[in-house]
Amino acid sequence: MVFWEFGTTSQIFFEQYAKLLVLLHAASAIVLVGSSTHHSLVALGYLRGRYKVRLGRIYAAVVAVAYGTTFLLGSLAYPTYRYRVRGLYLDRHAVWASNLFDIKENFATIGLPLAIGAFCLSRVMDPKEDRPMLPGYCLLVFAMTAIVWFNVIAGLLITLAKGV
Amino acid sequence: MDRKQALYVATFAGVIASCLVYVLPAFSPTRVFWYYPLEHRWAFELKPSALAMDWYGRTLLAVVASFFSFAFTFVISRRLKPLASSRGFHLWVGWAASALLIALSLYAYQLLNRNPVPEPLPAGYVPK
Repeated sequence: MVFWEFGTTSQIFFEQYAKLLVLLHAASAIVLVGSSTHHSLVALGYLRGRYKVRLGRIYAAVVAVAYGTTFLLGSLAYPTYRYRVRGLYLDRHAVWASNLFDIKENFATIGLPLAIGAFCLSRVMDPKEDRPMLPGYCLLVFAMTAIVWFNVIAGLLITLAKGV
Repeated sequence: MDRKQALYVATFAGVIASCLVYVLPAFSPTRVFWYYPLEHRWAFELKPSALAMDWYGRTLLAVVASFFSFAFTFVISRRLKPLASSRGFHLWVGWAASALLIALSLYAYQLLNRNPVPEPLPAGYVPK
């Protein structure tokens, strides 16, 4: 493992908190992957005629908050990662991890409106009465959960190669 | 349309706009905000002159497009007739699924076999 000793390079924004930010980012991601998976199971239940509406709304709200928190924490740690991890190490020794991270970050942005959209719809939709809306709601929930799982696994693989 | 249906349509319009606008810089030169982490500055430009990150700029672009698309669609939808059948609801799902597929697959395709240029190692770098 290669360690970095700070020399004459400039301090990057929030660099001194990078490890803490990534740790909190991971903790938030744990909440996110758990709540989104449960949310998907509830949505699947809707399709099968099992309506746990209150639980579905709770999960939608938790997912929206956890997604936003994970997103924000990751964006604060990103400048440090971009130079210290990707620029100096991954682009040199583990290009696959560098590319995987960029795929992960783009997927996270694409998934953001899905989490917000699912939350908005969960507040107004009655899955029993509004059956025509169900496929759309399920698309938002399932696609967002798939993105979250991809990102969690990708994040773990990248961190195994090199973390902040 | 009632509020529920308008919200449904507007939500999917927001998702579609977000996906399509987010991929726009990937295939069409688009000015976005770039952050230079070593220089601690922002720049609104087409291409960076040093190590820079356009993720913040592209994300902001997508969020703004999504918001305006959502708001515009919601206002217009409230003035339209309700969706008569489930076909209308499913059309929006189809369009959103297509936009999602385009966005996800475009970035995966472009980034999977990318060969990035590493940054030069700075003075004082001591591998252990």
